Parts: sequence; structure tokens; C-alpha cells
Amino acid sequence: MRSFNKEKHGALPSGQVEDALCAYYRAQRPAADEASERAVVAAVVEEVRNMRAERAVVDEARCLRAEMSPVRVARPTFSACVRAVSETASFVAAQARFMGARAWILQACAVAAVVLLWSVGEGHAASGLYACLAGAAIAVCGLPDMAASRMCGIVELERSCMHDARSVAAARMAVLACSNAVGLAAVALVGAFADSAAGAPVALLHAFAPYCITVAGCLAAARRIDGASALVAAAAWGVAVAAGAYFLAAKMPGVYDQAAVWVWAAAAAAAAVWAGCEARAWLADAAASPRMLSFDSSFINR
Amino acid sequence: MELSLENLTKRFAEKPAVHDVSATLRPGVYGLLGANGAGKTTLMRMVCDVLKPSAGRIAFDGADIARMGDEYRAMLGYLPQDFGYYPDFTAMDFMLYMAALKGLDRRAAKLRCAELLEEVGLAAHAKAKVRTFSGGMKQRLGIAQAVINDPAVLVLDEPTAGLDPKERVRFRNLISGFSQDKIVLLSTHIVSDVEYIADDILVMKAGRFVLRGRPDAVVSSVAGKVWECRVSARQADELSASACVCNVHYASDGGAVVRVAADEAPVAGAASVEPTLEDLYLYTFRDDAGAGAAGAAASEVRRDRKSGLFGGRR
Repeated sequence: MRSFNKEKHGALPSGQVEDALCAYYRAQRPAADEASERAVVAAVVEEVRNMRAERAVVDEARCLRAEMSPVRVARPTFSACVRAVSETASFVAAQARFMGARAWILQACAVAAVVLLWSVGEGHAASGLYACLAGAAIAVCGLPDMAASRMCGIVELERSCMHDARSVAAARMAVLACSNAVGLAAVALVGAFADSAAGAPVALLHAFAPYCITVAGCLAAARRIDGASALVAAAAWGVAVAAGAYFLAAKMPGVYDQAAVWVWAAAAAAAAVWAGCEARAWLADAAASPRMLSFDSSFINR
Repeated sequence: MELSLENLTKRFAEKPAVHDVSATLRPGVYGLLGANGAGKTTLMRMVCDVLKPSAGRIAFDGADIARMGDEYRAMLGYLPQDFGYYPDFTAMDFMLYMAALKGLDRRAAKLRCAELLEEVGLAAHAKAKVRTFSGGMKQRLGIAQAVINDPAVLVLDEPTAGLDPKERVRFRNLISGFSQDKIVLLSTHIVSDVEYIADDILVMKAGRFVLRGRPDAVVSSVAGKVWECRVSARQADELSASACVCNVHYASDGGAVVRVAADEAPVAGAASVEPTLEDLYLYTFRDDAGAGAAGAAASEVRRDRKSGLFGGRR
């Protein structure tokens, strides 16, 4: 006897499955003797029992999974995805609101200062140097907001909330990345205007490499050093990067020539990887490191 | 609703701060008592998912809180021992910030925050900067943020530390009001706070629970071990140095009434008296500070009296 073709009949409700099976076996019936009828009925009963048992096992497994993690097992529907995205966006927007405009203002001041320098300096080296200075300054401007949770001792409270300290750190990174992207774009445009031979992409590269190096170094310093000294160390790192850029302009001005763009591209790529690693370590620390729980209360009561 | 601590251990550089602790908490107020370094804060941080246990697990209604993640934290309210805030935040900013972290809708959060600030007596200071607040006001703000999301589990780490008696009573009443149908875990050094509001007491020592039960049952474990005797001032000083002295009351006639927690009568003629939770605390932690903190304090008072700081002994 051939088995019932499940694929042909598709997924049917349990009542209809029995009807379909009955019809199928009725059509297959060779003779109308009692013995063969009994055999057909027995086969149908067996098939239905097997299908029910199979379904029960599947349902039980689903229930068990749901019991263990009701939220995660639910299949993500389109509306659930939309809701998750809108919740995340609203949380990031809330962080941006609470962070205030300090980072934006500091960054605007840094870009304005570099624009002033551009108006007096001339040549590829000077132009490249100013882009480097702007990149380093933009990175340092965002650090107080990035380290605020830890400096102000609010990490412990944040970790105990639905949106934990890692979410807060990630949201702040996203907000600062947006503001820094605007700042770097402004630097690239001004650089292209000041040194039309080089163009915006080269100015962007000159700003981006020191930006990433500064971000990575500042995060590394702020992660390893406690209290207000972390900010001092991070600012010192920013100054060191700026000094390095000045040294290159003074001793090896050729580095800022268009021919050396690939060097900047390689440096930017390596620095971006370093910054990415530091950002990941920062998020991991925000989530679980006991070190992040200690803070100097005199910093907030000053 | 049930919160189970299952063989919970937390080590810092191989030194255990909490060691193999197990308990099951159901709705009610649990007072966590213990000396400094007993592991109370570490335990509370693990309950709040702030620190991950080195071994063991915490389960809420059978589900591991590490796996529940944000789902568990959404049901949690926490007031840390020493909490920070952003210096330029007003009380309302702080509340709204915490409401955003707890996933509350912005409009609903505004109403809830205003209502809670009113409840804790800070409505008039909603627009004042948090850094201008006194210790008591900060603690009241702390309890308000802890209950923004109407949590099922409320964890308060030394909430009454540094408060004057009036603020403490006010704070205790606030906690009692907020603790209906919740699991409230409250740690403190101030024994009377626990005595007044806790349904159950957990006593921690060296990272372990050494006593657990209803206040009267726990206190009865030292029944027959608390003594009062009338001795000379010199003998009172000697007792303070050698025994676990709970209290010394110097009389104007040169004598002193000394209350001692000890397995046997400290001097002939000492009478056994009804123990209190404070006696139990001092008896349990008598080894932690030599002859006991109270004894040392009594000696301190004695020295001060001798030097005439309080007018000397008459």
C-alpha cells in the first residue's frame, strides 16, 4: 500500500486530514471484502495516530522553548521589527536629548578654529596639518559625553535598568558618531575649498586618520584610568596626536602631498580597526566590568 | 512570584565576596544585615544584574535572570548605596532620564515622575539641581527613581545611611508604602530600621547567610545569652575590653549598668534579659571587631568622660 502523500494535500486542519485520508484509502480499496476494509481502517487509524503524535511532539517542543524564553522564540514579524527599530530610535533620541548640545558646540568651535587657521596658512602641508588638527579636536570634544556615565557614577544605576549601561554607551556612541561625521564632513568641504588641488576626499582622509587614532587612544585611556584623570589623559593623547601631525608637517611635509594619499588611507584603515576594538571593549566594560562601578563622588559634587 | 538565589558565589581575584549563598525570596520585606565587607552590596548587585555571579544562578519564577536580561530588569527597582547623577540634572531631569532607561513612554513618564516627586516630598524641588540636594533629599529621589516602573523586585542598599532620625523614619514609611506585593531586599547597618519594617531577616557574615528567619524567631536564637549587670565604672571598662558589650549606662553614683551578649553570665549576679535584634547583631559579629564595636564605643565614651568632654563623671 502506498503511503498518504502529505505534500500533495499540503498542511490541512486535523479534521480535514482524516477526511482526506479516508477518501484516499477509499479510492485505493481493491475489493469490498471485510478483511481488507478492516485493514484499510486500521491503516488510516495508525496514520492519523502517527501524525497526531508527531504534531504533539512539535507542539511540546515549541511550548518548552516558549517557557524558557517567551520573547526570543516568537518569530519576528515585520511589525515587531518596526516596533524594535522605533524603540531603539526613540531611546537613542532620548540619549541625544539628555546629552545636550555641549559636544556639538565644542566641535563647532574646533572646526571654526581650524577654518581660521586655514584662512592664514597655505600649501599642501599646512592644509593637511589643519585637517589633522580638526580630526583630533573633533574626537576629543565628544569624550566628556562618552565618559559621563562612569565619571558621574551612574553606571550602577544604568546597569540595573531595562536599557542597560551598554545600551546607553552604544546610544551615546551613535549620537557622537553622527555629530562627528557632520564635523568631519565640514572639515573636508572647507579643506577642499582651501586647497582645491587636493580635494575633499584627501582632506577627509587627513582628518579621518588622526580622528580614529584619537578616538581609540582616548577610549583606551578613559577605560584604564579612574576619575577625572581619565579626561586629562585623554586630552593629553589628543594633544600628542596633534603634535605628531605638526611634526610630520615640519619634518616630512611630503607626507601631506597627494602622492602619499595611500599612506593616509592605510593609516586610516588601521586606526579605524583600533578604534573599533576599543569601542567594543568600552561597551563590554560598560556591561559587566566591576571597575566601572567605582567613581569619585567629589567629581559630581564639585 | 519567587526569586531564588541558587548556590550564588562571587569572587574578586579568587577571593570570595559571596560564597555559596542560597535563598528563596517571596513577596515581603527582607532585611539584609551584616558588617562592612560581609558581602551585602555584592549580593545585591548580583540580584540587580549589575554584577555577574562567578558560580550559581539567580532565578525569577524559575527562569535564569541572566537569560531573561532586559525582561527581568524591566521588573526591577534598585537604589545603590552611593548613586551618582549628571551634575547639571534637575530632579525632574534625573527622574525622566531613569524613566527613559526603564523604557517608559515619554508622556506617561512625565506624569509618573511628577506623581512620585510629590509622594516623596520633592515636588517643590523638581526644577532644582540634584547637586544642591541634602543627603536625605537625594535618598528620597533615589527611592522615587527606584519605583518609577512599579517594580516587582525592589532592592535598596543602605537606603538610610547618613540620614538624621526624622528623615530615617520618613524614609522607612516610604519604603513600607512602596513595598506592597513586592519582593523588597533592604540592606542596612541600622538594626532598628530592619526591626520596624522587615518581615524576614537575613544575616550575612563573610559572604554567607549565618541566620535567617522572622525577626522574633531570629532574635530568640540569642535568648538566655544577653545579660545585664550593675558594676563599678572600672569593671565596666574591663568588661568593654573583654566581652561583647551592647550598652553601658554610667550612673551618677560612680556605678554603671552594663548589657552584655555572652554565652555565660559575665559577672556574678548578672541577670538574663530579653534580647533585641541589636543584641543579636552584636553577638553575631562579636569576633569582627575584637571585643565588639559597642565595647569599643563604650570605652571611647568612658575616655571622653574622663577627659571631661561631657563634663566628667560625677
